[in-house]
Amino acid sequence: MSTLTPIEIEIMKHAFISIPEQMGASLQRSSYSPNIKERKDESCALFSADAKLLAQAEHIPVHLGAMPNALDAAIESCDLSRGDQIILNDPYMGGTHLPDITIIKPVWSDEHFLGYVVNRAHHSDIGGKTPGSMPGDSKTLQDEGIVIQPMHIVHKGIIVEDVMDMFSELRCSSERMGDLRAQMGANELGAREFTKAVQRFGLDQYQDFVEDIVRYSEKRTREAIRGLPEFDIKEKDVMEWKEPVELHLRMKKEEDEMKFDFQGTQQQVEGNINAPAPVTYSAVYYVLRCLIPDDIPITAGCYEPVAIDIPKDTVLNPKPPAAVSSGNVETSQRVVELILKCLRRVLPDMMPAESQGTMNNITVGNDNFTFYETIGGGAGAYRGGDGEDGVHVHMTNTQNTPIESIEHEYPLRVNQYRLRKGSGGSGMYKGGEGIVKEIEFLEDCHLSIQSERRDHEPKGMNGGKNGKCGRNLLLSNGEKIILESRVSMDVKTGESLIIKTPGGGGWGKKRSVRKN
Amino acid sequence: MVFYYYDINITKLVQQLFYTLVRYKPMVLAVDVGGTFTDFILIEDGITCYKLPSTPDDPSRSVIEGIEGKDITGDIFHGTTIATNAFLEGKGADTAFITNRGFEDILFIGRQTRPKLYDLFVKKDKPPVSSGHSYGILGRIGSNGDIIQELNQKELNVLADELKKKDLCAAVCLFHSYKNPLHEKRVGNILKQNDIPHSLSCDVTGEYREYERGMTTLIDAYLKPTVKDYFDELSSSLPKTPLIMKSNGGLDEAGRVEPVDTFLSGPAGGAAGGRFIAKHTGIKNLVTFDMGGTSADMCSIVDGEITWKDQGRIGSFQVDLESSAREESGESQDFPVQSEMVDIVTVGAGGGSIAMKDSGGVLRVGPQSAGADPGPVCYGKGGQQPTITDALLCAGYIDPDYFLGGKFDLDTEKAQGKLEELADALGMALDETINGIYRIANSTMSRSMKKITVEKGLDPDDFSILAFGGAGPLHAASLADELGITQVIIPPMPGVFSAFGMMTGDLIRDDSRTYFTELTNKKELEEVIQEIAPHHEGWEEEVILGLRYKGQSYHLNLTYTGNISDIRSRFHKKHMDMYGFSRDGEIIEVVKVHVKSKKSAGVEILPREYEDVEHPEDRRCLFKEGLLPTSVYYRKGLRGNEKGDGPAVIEDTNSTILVPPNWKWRVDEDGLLYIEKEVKK
Repeated sequence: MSTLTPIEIEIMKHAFISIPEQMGASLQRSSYSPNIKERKDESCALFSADAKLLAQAEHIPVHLGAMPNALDAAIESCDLSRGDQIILNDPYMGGTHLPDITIIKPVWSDEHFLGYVVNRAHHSDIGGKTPGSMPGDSKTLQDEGIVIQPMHIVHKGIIVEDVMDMFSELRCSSERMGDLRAQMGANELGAREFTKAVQRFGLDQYQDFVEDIVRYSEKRTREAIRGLPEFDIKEKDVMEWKEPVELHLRMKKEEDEMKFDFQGTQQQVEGNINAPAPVTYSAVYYVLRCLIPDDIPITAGCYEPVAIDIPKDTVLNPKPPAAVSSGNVETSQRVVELILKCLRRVLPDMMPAESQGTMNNITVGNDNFTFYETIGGGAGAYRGGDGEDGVHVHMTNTQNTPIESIEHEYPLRVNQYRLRKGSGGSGMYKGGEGIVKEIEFLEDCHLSIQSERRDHEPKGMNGGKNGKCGRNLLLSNGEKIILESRVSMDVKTGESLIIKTPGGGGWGKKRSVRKN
Repeated sequence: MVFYYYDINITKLVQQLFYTLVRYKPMVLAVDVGGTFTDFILIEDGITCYKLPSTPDDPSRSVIEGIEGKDITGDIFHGTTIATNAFLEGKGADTAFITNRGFEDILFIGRQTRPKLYDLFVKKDKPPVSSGHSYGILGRIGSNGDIIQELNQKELNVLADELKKKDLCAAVCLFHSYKNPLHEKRVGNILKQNDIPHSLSCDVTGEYREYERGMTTLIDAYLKPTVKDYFDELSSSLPKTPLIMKSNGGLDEAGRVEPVDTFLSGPAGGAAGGRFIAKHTGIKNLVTFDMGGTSADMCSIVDGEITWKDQGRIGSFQVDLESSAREESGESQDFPVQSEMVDIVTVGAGGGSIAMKDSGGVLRVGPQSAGADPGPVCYGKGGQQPTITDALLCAGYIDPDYFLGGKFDLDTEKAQGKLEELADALGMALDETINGIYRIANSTMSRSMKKITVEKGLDPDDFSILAFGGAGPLHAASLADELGITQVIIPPMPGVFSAFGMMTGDLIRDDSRTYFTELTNKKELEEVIQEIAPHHEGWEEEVILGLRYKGQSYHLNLTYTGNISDIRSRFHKKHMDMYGFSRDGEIIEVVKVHVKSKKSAGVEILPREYEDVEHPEDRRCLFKEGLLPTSVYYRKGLRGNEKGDGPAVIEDTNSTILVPPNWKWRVDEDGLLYIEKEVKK
């Protein structure tokens, strides 16, 4: 039984949360890929000796649910000793999609095992058939890059050269090496700070803290859930595939617990919209975070009151060798919208209309470079406010790459980057506008797009109009060619890609008088 | 031994006269405008400190009033919030934004991110320009500086007419102007011919990243008229053009200071003072810790120099530790500014931070603050929730009869009543609760202090804390304990030390530009340096290169001295220190060339107060270890080389210094107070 006072818990909370914060700062500043340093597509976390999440400094919600699975997979597959670090990206063993590489370090203080520091970062290339490793047309995991099952990248303090060699075969391998070194460096820093913190408070007190902070987060999360109305609702939504793929959810709230049952969701497909289970966990945890007070520390306790059931071999819980690269970035957005669709029926004033619901992933490259970017769009309007224009919603919040940086670093020229006027759904409150971005290719390149909401409009709410669908266009010799929502194709010097991202749904009927 | 005595005249109410042995000629004055008070320090025959209420409706009034009748023969040093306040209150000029066609919305899109991660009702901050006043013009320059498309003269004439008709100022930001400013200059000429006040991005900041540069240029144009009027008013009303404390920790003449260079004027004074103390004591690694009623500012001084960054922010500087972004407080304003700024972290912890039990049963301190009104419970102005100040009062650290020099009555009983309620709710003893509030406040601040040390690759063990502000010296030693720091220094006049710091600054001008080349291209580099260096007569110049491994997008700043192989090995080492690895074979790329020009300007004295007074009686104060008998001193009554053991409370004017148990205190010959802990080996 723990002996910590309400004061000691708070003091130790600050001390331990600052560890992943410091790891994140180090990783962002020392990494190579714009993905990590500019777009902050990374997360860092701290786990107890029994692999319970103690603290997470996350910058991307899509990593929320994924870290615990990664650690479990590493513990199961590897013998861990002092000075080790484990690397993995296998979506079927703790990963989500291949570019997300997780590195885990167990931490000791003298003879005592303390726990783990973990970080995950999105690399801009991990091999596969196209630069950027996000092919629009991948059918199996092999098309998307190299698969790393949990293995030692550092063994007893020595870097395993064979593992590093795997990366030397990849495009822009020196960038990969730099990013991996940055990830290992962040873990070293985290381990050092972890040990220092435990020495400061003492081992007994640290063990009490593990128990107490988890229980504290759980208590406050349960209390927030209890405050919501009781409900039991079924909804469905679709992913855009050759034939629309249905996602089903029965969401139930009872007392201080929530249940998410995805029974009825369609079988996995021979394409990349399959999302390993941790992606859906992340989407659920994201919505949960939006519903509960934001000062509750993220620990294993937050997730105790939540049950998630995903049927096997479906798009939300596929089996190998299904391709998955779009699951993390696109399917995750749809799962969020599906959950919000249920919640709109019970909490209409706490929910916005549908937003762009996609990340508009674009990857351009050839043998000399890889450029990956996501594009914001319109957010949904809500009672009392217009939807925001040109912004990332829900599962991502990555920054754009400055145009001056794109044009300096890559053989690309940006010809327009502006709001897509009129794309947000009208209503008493207007949906946010999407973005128009036009990129001209100054060399022959390969282009991959993964996007959604090209056929299904983001829906308005309470009488508000739908936002406009997104569009992908190729401008070639003065001719505009309409592209699918997912493509993988060669493009020539002088051609341009025009992406128009979806607008958000409006809220309320327009003719109603808007009261201020 | 040299004594400087000073005369304290607070709000012209309390007057204490001391004598002086040494004269400082000519007469100099520092004036630091704060939200509530304007602080003055006058050095002539000794040192006089006084405060006047600030006059937010016309900020120059309190400054001029406080200086009127003083025969200032030397310099006037000035810390100002004019630009910050005009920006936050939306009192700038109506400004048009001119950029390349197709990119009219870049300021509205920003970096396409939302300020709060977990927020279903997304709202970005709105820049101070209406979308109808954002213009895209023909013409395009490529990343290598080549002209891809020419400007259209006719279009520019039409635009100038429209701006004139609408009576707008203009901010111009065209792509790659850091590489080739030709188009911006030509647009500037047309605006000039039409008498349209304007700012060009190549003049305001020569750095890449169109959103950040555009925003900086917009803010500059938007604030320029207000700031210029203010400086003009001061220059014509004061006996001498004031030297303005800039965000970079340096001073410059009012007429030469751009609005975007002043956003951290006040806190930079504290950092400049830190640098002075580092120089004076030879203790070269310091963290300055300035804690007041609502927030605490921290900045590190490394190897005797203030740490600075190439880009800061205007708006909410506060670090919100609890949510992933800052708290929402109505219309928020938070934008990047490409201007050299001292690297300050501000945390929302001050004497007014409220202590409460949260729904999970845990004691929390801040970020909610009772501010100055109603303020802590003990102010008796209606505050109902106990604050840090209430806890420190009940712990016995603050003397209710000596708070702010005794001008202010504190109600200990009332504060204790509220703290008892809180203790009951927590199911804890009163003493434990009071001490808990103090310790939690310190743990919050230590988390922030790590942001400027550990997160920057610095080890707190190598640092001393320099504590000032009303509340800084009360928390510093305990905060040091959390970080493993064993020495705290309390400067003279801790309550107005930021104003004093301004007097110690150098004149500093920064000229910089984004320039991409490999480090080995020495000849090219030298040419660019010559182009950028202003070569002011009698100024020293330091060349700083922004360097990175080719492919990285953040750079490290390194002084350009020695040969290229020297620089290379220093870069590898610095990278290793900060990030834990280096890549020895890799190409090193220059991304920024920066010339820092310096000229010394400030005073070089350390004020010292001494009076033969009787120290107060000992009292009992509450610590982690329990209630302990604690010695109490007046700082002004401490002589050089005096020392003692903690626990002790040392009363200073406008500040209280706490020496915890197991810490010792000593005064050096110059009157600096050290609080130190013996390290167990």
